[in-house]
Amino acid sequence: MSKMIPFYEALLETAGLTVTSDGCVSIKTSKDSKPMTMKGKRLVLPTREHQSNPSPDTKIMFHPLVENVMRGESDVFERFRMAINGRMNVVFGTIVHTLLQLGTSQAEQHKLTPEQSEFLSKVKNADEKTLIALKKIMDSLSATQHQKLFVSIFLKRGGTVGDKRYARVGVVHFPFYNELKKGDPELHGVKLRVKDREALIGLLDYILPEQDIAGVYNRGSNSTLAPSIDALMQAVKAIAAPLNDLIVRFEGILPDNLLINADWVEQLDNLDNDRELLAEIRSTPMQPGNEGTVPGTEAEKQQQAANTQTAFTAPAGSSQQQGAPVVLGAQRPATPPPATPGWPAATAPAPASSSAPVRTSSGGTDFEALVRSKPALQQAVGWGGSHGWNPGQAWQQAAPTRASLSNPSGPVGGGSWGGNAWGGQQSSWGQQGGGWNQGGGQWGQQQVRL
Amino acid sequence: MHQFVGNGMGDKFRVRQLVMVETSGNAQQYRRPYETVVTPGVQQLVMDRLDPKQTVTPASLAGVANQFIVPSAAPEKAVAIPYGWEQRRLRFMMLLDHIGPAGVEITQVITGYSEFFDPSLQGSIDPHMNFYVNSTMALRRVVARTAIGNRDYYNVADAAHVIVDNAWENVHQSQKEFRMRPADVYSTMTRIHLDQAVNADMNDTRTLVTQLPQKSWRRNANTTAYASALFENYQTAMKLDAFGQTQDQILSQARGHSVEQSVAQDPFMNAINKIRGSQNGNAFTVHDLLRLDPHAMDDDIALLSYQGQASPINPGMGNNTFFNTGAMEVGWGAANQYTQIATILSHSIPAIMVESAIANIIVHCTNRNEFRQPQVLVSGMRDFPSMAGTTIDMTQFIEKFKWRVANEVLNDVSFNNDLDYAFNLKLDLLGDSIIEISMSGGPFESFTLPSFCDALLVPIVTNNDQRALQVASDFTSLFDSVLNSNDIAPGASYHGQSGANWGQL
Repeated sequence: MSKMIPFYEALLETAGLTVTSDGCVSIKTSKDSKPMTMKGKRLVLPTREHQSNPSPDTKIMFHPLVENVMRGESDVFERFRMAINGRMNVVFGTIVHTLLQLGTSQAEQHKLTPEQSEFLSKVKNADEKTLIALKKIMDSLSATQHQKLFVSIFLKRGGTVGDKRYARVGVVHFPFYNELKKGDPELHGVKLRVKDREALIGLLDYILPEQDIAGVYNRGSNSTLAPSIDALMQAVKAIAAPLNDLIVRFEGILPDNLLINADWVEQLDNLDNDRELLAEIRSTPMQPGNEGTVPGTEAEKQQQAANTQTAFTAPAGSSQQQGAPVVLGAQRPATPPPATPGWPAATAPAPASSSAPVRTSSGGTDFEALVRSKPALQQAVGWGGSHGWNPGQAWQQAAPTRASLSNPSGPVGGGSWGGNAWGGQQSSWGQQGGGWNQGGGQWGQQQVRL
Repeated sequence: MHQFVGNGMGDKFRVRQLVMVETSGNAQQYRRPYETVVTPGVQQLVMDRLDPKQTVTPASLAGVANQFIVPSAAPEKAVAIPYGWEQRRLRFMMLLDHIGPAGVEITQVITGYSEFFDPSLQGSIDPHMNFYVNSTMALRRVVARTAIGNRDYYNVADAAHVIVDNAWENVHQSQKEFRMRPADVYSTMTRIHLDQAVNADMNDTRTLVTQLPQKSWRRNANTTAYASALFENYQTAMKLDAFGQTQDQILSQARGHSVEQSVAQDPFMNAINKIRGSQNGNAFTVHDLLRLDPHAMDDDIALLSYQGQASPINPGMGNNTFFNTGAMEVGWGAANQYTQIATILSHSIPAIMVESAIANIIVHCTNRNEFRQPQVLVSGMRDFPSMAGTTIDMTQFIEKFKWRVANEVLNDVSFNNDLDYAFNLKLDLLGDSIIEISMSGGPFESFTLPSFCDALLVPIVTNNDQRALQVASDFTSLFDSVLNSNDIAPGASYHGQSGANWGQL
């Protein structure tokens, strides 16, 4: 019984992705699913079948548990981290908007229990204009404009959490909250009144406490197996616990399918000691796309640039487009001999073909146990149209790939969280559907699946 | 035996035996170059094994090397051979006596393959058909005076693959290949900082595979020997480091310690190239060979075996069957543990065979026993000295072979026997090698490798410059971690770039 593949499936589900029965990764949409691609290649799990038929020209395997610590972030890991960021912001944004909408609509507040009503004191001065301002700001948010996000997770190589040093640190930032705290009259081009700002800050504090304390949600890893994925998911766990806690508290008000799957927690916490998992990992070699880039090289710089790219523009030309190659060492004769008869020409190559309790410093509860006790919640998809949120066809679009950027004739996906998170491109939430409240698709139905 | 005659360009050559066997074709073969995967656990393991003050030997890294440097599981490239893998061709093994200008006699073993095979009705072969040299080996006979009289000893003076890009056109061609021999890795290390600064294609002609043949020690295909050579030569360069030397100067010294024998130093290839009037290439024709030794194709010297013809030739331990084309194609094309281990076995063990003077061997290896310890059983073999007409006691060589296979290969592929395995190996340096693998109690999967042309498949050649750079970069980091410091804080050892962020705001 494989342990690694279910672990990977759980990780991907947390990122808002789904795995088909044949081991292919897809982006969940309201009606069906769209293939998840990277650089034109289908993302797949390293199942026995895919390892036997790797087809490196058409497939790329998700295998972050084999990590080269000497290298930078791999292509696969980078895209996964961006998908995780996308999913966390979808959840965070939905909660913020729903609660503010509820806080400004007295007609619906009678439904709240005393425990649920606690948040009303945080938004007591908010009104319809506050809600409008929030929607305007959210319409301007972009998956790749990290400085605008509710929450942004990145990885740091060699850092400290508290007074302990770690090989990898998952760093959690709250850019939206920090911008509000600056007190500027405008936020991302939207004018905010003092009471708007105070209401939003109060609400954010209620949803995820201690955002103003630097590094409180950072988590580190000294795993001897795969410190990067461990640090990233430990950081996810740190923020998912209070968020899931809140989602459960507002059951019936917040969509059930916002719950963040955490079936991976137990295995993650036992990553270095699970010998069965270790044997399986050792039996699954490193796969292309997971190697990581050489630190400091142009490849890594390009990758980091892609991470923070803010304009929907083609990336800098590939190395092959930079003119004459740089030649080191002695040159060969100007007139080379022709290829040996019988051998193919050099220009025509033949390509190869958890049940552990989850507690946080903020007193988060055992959200996993809660999720597990409600199978219906785990399987829920879609949350109807009554909430009115709609970033258009977000997540439904096939991810635009880097290949499509450098090849205009190729398929170019529209702006979407799916595209943003995995395509490394800029576009805004709601771009496709014309805004958070427009279009026919339902946000929750499209990308949030627990 | 005939006298030394012919046009050896100053040297004397005598072809003692030329065995040519038809092979009706092979499945598509793929290149799987080395790749480094340094996990934190492995990094610590290497640091524990290597003492900066002690000399590094292959035994130092036995059981560890394959955990951080392995042939890639995913095939990098479908390897080309003249007229395709389905082409009928001859594989050959030539025993050649050579007396150099200094009067020292050595026996060379040349192996390779022809570009095609299309015999005449009388069974003659095309005198202009190219034979490609795959590998060369030199056996040196040493006479020792002992209390019981003179005794002959043989040692392997040189055993190398011949690396050449027969499709080479010029430095501007789109598909280029790069060498990753230890000396080449040091060269690549000196340009890592350039790649960090220059956004362009890097054509480092120091490591390009061109039409000029280069030799690569067969032991470079054994990961344990390869990794230990990289550590040892760097360590030696550091010891000889004059005060104030730069890293580049240390790497140059390390490169000097790693230099391999050149083709110009290879008696046979040097003579053939002179006969052909060219310094290029690894090919010769029957016509060229006859100029080297007019008796080379005499009936008692040149033995030809092809399909439909009864032949006394027995180069493959009585297994003169012909491989069915395409039968193993799916297996070699996979990117899983089985193909990775098959690749390791098919390269590492022949490297040990050559150094033990073994031409072909049947080996059974397993750790399916009470104490889960590696067991190596040899059930048949043939050695090079006996093929050269000398019978010697091979006992010590077989024992050495078994010990090295267990320690340098089996412990590595099994993660020090954490993984259960059973291997049945029928390895023939002059023909096809058949490898049967069973892991964790699973069924046996079979792989067939054309060993007669394994220079095309060596893991020290890649067509991906980034891969060469990555291997060099990872070894640089390991040198820093292991040899340059004894006190590494967690995290700080990760390429010394503490604080580098990914996806930072």
